[in-house]
Amino acid sequence: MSLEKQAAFRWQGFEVLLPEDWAPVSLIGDRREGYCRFGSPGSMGFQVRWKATRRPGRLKDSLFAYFRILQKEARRAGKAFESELEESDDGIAYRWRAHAKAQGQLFYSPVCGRVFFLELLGDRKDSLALYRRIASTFRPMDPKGPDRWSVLGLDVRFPSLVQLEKRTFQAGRTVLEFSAKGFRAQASRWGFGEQLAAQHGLARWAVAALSLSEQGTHQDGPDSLYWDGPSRLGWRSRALVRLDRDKNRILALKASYRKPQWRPEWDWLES
Amino acid sequence: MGLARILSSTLDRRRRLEPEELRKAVPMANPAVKVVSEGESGLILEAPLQTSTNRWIAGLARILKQPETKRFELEPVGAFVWKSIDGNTSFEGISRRLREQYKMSRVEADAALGAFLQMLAQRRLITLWIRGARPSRRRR
Repeated sequence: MSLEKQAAFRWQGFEVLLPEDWAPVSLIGDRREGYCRFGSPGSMGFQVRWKATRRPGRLKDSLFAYFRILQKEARRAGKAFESELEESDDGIAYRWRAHAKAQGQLFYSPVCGRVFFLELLGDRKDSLALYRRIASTFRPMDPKGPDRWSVLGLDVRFPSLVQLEKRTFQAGRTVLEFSAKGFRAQASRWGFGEQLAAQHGLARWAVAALSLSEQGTHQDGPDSLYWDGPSRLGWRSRALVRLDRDKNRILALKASYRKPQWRPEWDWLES
Repeated sequence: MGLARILSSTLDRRRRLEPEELRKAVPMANPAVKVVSEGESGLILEAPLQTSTNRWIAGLARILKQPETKRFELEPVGAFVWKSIDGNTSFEGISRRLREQYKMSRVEADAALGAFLQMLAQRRLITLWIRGARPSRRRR
């Protein structure tokens, strides 16, 4: 896994670098508790499970409960279940092998007060050499710092924690919707950016795609524009749209906010 | 497994493609489909409409001047994919061309291409040839 072929995945307060051609298969839960799984083009997958807790308790008990489920599955598949684990100050590293095989670790992060379960899973024939590389890039984010989300080419950051309300992954379009107190935002990433801009014009496309009014739309350079909407009941709205020619995509952020610290800035949309 | 799913899997013998199979599959254009115009804005395809074997219905269609062909307009990206469907290039090969031409990631190119080919197949403009495929029951 070379560095240039990795893509960052930042989700619910953690980040990890995965091979670029791996795609999210399952994304469940919120910041407190959740699960996500990425699938490779082949038979491998990487999964992260997390749960907020004040006292991490005995990680080993959680791992053994997981092993018991795997043992049942292995029995049903007619395979023997083998496992090995190694405890350290950082947590527990483990491997198992049965109808499939996996390598993973279980640890408590005092940075965000959550227990994380990382696992690279594959068929019996797959090599799990990638595990160390992926696990070494895993990092829980500080909840006091900026909140950053990256998935499928969309990369957006906010000054403080936001809650994910909705996600839409379609061919050529990724949309995440967020909320916080006095703040609502929709971040989107559109493929075929140059073709869309050439066909419709960036401003006309943005007005139609983001439901903006033509009034208030201002060009901010050849490939970017912003829109300031009218103020209503103390809510202001602003949209930022940028054509990224290097990656042939359009990044957009449309937000409604009450307080000035939630007014979107260009560096919220990463390139 | 619910009753509806059991019934569906019993009656529907079509097989769901595994991602690996899809990548090796070769899209083949329907030979009856012709390119009638081509330009910078894309291309226009023309396909014959299925005519009824019932002579009364066929006669009625003639009287009502029902068109014998149908046209499909493909925008430039769709036209690029259509031109790549040469009967030799696999899904993976077309996806690679898309990634190079439009600076897309593999995930994005595969998803966009899969959706587009499905649309073409539903309109009977192409069919997917799967090398060495054996018919089997649809998997859950």
